[in-house]
Order: sequence, then structure tokens, then C-alpha cells
Amino acid sequence: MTDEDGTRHLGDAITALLDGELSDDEAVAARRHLAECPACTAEMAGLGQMRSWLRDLPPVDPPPELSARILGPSGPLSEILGLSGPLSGILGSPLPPGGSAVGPAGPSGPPSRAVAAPPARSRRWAGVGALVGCAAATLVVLGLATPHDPPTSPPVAHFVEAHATAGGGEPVSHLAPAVVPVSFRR
Amino acid sequence: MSGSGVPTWEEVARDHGRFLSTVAYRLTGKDDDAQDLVQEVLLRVRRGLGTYRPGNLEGWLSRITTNVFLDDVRWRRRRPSEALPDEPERVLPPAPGADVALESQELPADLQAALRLLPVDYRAAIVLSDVVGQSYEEIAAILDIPLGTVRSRIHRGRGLLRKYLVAGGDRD
Repeated sequence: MTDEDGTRHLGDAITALLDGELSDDEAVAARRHLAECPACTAEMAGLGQMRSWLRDLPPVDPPPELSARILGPSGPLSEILGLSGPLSGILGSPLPPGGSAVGPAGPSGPPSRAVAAPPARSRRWAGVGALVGCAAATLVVLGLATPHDPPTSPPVAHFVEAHATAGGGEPVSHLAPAVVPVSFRR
Repeated sequence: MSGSGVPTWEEVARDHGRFLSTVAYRLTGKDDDAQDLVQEVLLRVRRGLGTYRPGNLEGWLSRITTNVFLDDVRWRRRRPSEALPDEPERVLPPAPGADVALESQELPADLQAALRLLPVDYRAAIVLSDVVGQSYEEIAAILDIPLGTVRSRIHRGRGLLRKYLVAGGDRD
């Protein structure tokens, strides 16, 4: 990328350098330019800060009401099966008392809401036969099969795998330290 | 997991539900849309497990999630009645200084709001890179775009986020 006065700048090579996506030769050339270009150095610091903030975003737990939305009295599965009440017991996995799936949100996830009829547009995506097979596992994954499970959200979890590339994660300044995230897999 | 290394649907739903929920929320920025997206992805996963080749499962799940999201955006664009994204001034609070933003407890919410303002192509690339942790090559394969385009979208996307969030930036 070139300024009005003809000065060439790094442009998106800054981002590639931050992400460890430049070849060794390209990275050497980029760092040489950074040593002499305050504008690119400042841009790299700013973009590095965005990268760090994005990678520090916490995971989002699936809300308990999602399962009820799929499986509850007004959900597409109950319509398919002709059910008029909660599905407690039918699938071997009881819903909480009253059929409600309201529960605490994860520390950084979206807030829980009371169970409501799914919006019309969700039915646009509802598959008929597949929902039957999805039902039991959905209850498990969304926490209703074992409602007394301990909280699943660790403090500020990083679930991006550590980048194993040799050039990954350039520390650009004290404002934007390189982040080496870790897997959130159990 | 079966002997072939292909997970069962139940294993995917159980072990990667949080991953799917996170990617869906970061892409859509809205609870209802994220839930719709997760629901659809789980259905497609169940249908598609027969074609899954053991390897990068999260990459495979990311591909499905992102493609379903982008397909829906394109569908909505053909329906003028669908709500358009809010303007930055109506969504974001006044931008704090960079040093204040670093300490702000509101940063995740502000950053998510800013993410939602990005063009979807930039947003998808950034989510795949910075939320999922995919390499440029993996992102190029998922989005079916050249490596240079991946790099450009991530660069421009982060630049826009910086413009939205940092004091002194023009929100145009």
C-alpha cells in the first residue's frame, strides 16, 4: 500500500505478520520496514490490540431454553409427534419442574429468558425426521438431562487452539501482547 | 467415538455444543439468531456425519456453521422486510479512550456489538480466525476464497473494529 507521497506501507501484510502467516523472508522484510515506519508500527499496535481482544472473548454457553424450544410443548418436535404436554420422561430425560428451561446464564453468555414459542422463522429450518434423533442428545448437550451439573464455564476461557506455527503471534507492544490461546476442549 | 474415528451425533452435540453456541453467537450477535443457527447446524451435522472424514472436527463444524450463517444472510437480503443492522451510533456507546477500554467490563459486549456491524464477509473471516483459531489456509478452504482475500478481509475487519471502538476513529 502506498501513501500520497509515494511511501510504501505494509498494508495487510501487518495482519499476516500478526497472525504468523508470512514466510520467513516476508516477515524479515516486514520487520525491517516496521523499524523505520512509525505509521505502520502504530497500525500494527492497534490491530494487534483488536486481535487480542477478539481472542479474549469468552465462550458462550448454549441457553437452557434452546432445548425446550426444540422439544417443548410448542416446539417443532412436539408438533410432529402430536404431543400436547411437556416431553418429560418420554425420552428418558426429564425436563425441569413445570417444563421451564429458565436457568442461569454462563458468566459471559447472553442472559436466559423465559421459554416462549419459537419464532416462526425457526420452523423454516426445522427438519422433521432428524429432530427425532436429535432430541435426546440435545437434552444432554443443553444441560437438561443432568440439570444439576456443575457450572461449565471456566473463568475467561480460551478455546482457540494454540497456534503451532513457528512464526505465530508476534508480540507487538505492551498494549498488544501476543496471545497464545489454549484449547477449550475437555 | 466409533472405531473409524467418526464421532456419533450425540458425541458432537455433547462435546461441542458450547463451541457451536459460541461461534453462532459471535457470527449472529443475537440470541434468537444464534439459537436458530445452532439448531440448523445440529440438523446438518446429523445428516452429514456419514460424509465426514476424521481430521479437524472443529474446522468441519466451523465450515457448516459459517456456511449456514452466510446462506441465511443471503436469504434475508432477498427479503426487504427483514431488519437491517443498526447504525453504529445507535448501537455502540460513545467510544472510550483505548486505555479506558482495556479496563472496561463492557468490552466483550461492545466488541460483540462492533462485530455485528461488520460486513458479514469480514465478520466470518474474523470469527474463523480469532474466535475459532483457523489458519488462513483453513479459512480459505471453508469460505472458498483465495488466501489473499482471507488476509484482506481479516485486515479490513480488524481495522473497522478499531475504528468503531477506539476514541478518535471515524465511524463511517
